[in-house]
Amino acid sequence: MKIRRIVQSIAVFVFNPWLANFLSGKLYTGRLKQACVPVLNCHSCPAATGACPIGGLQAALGDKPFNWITLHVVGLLGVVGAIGGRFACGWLCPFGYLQDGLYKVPSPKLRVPRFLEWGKYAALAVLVVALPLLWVDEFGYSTGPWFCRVLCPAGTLEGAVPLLGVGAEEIPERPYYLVVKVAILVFFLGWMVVSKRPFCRVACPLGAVYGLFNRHSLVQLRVDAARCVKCDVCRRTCPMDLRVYEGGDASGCIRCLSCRSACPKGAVRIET
Amino acid sequence: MRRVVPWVLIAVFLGLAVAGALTGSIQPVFQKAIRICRECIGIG
Repeated sequence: MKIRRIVQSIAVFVFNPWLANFLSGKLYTGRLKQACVPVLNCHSCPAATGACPIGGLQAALGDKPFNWITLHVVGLLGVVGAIGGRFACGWLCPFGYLQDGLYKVPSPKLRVPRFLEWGKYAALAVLVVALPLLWVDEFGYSTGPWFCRVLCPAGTLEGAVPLLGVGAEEIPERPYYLVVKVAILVFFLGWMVVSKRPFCRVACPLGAVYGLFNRHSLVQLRVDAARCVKCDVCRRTCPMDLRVYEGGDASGCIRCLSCRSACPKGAVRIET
Repeated sequence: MRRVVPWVLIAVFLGLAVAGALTGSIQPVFQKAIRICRECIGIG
């Protein structure tokens, strides 16, 4: 699937073209930042060209009184999901690309227990929606983007590391959240070497949203049961460790089409 | 029948996106995105 690698590489630069900002520690502040990109890409990354949809959703939900722009962000995510389900995870997401790359590092490999995959729905419901919407301070303002603050390793890698590295921001006196976030980043980076896309499967709220659409998206993956011999080549090649013959519309499928290329029987096809 | 569902979903969510853009204010999202979000990087 060389073409997917090429598309992923291009997507990294489309969403993060302002590379010189890494040296200055400044952010791109043009009008494109009003638009959400369809992938998890921290808008505090100096090179980022658009807003992160999860950061944007938390900012919109936290605005008081209720800001109808929330519907706009939800609508955009819904359109992307209804077209291709999680295809953006497989073809466009820079953090997914990083995970694909790290899994190629030679090491013992571990399977991710299936029950952990519920974690991404908890992250979405609690950290992205409930806390920013409902937890307000004494003045009635939202207490902030809790997913970004306590969990998001993409924000730590793309935002905190370069900004603190060039001295654009200073480490606070009591860096509790930073310590937690760096620990989470290191943990996930290590996990990415030994397991397939652990962050996407266990903690990504954007993947959780798109995954809800997989069953009814315009682009569908189908397995011809008459041809399939359940040899599990699809599972070995799948970046999400799925047995595609158990359901091409499973919420974990990122539509990368690796299984279609690998299937020795040609049993996997795309349907629109 | 099944193939109608994605088109309905696309239409509904496109409608939400447009309605939200017309009635809401993008400023909170924009302001968060053009400044270093200290919470986002774990120092705020």
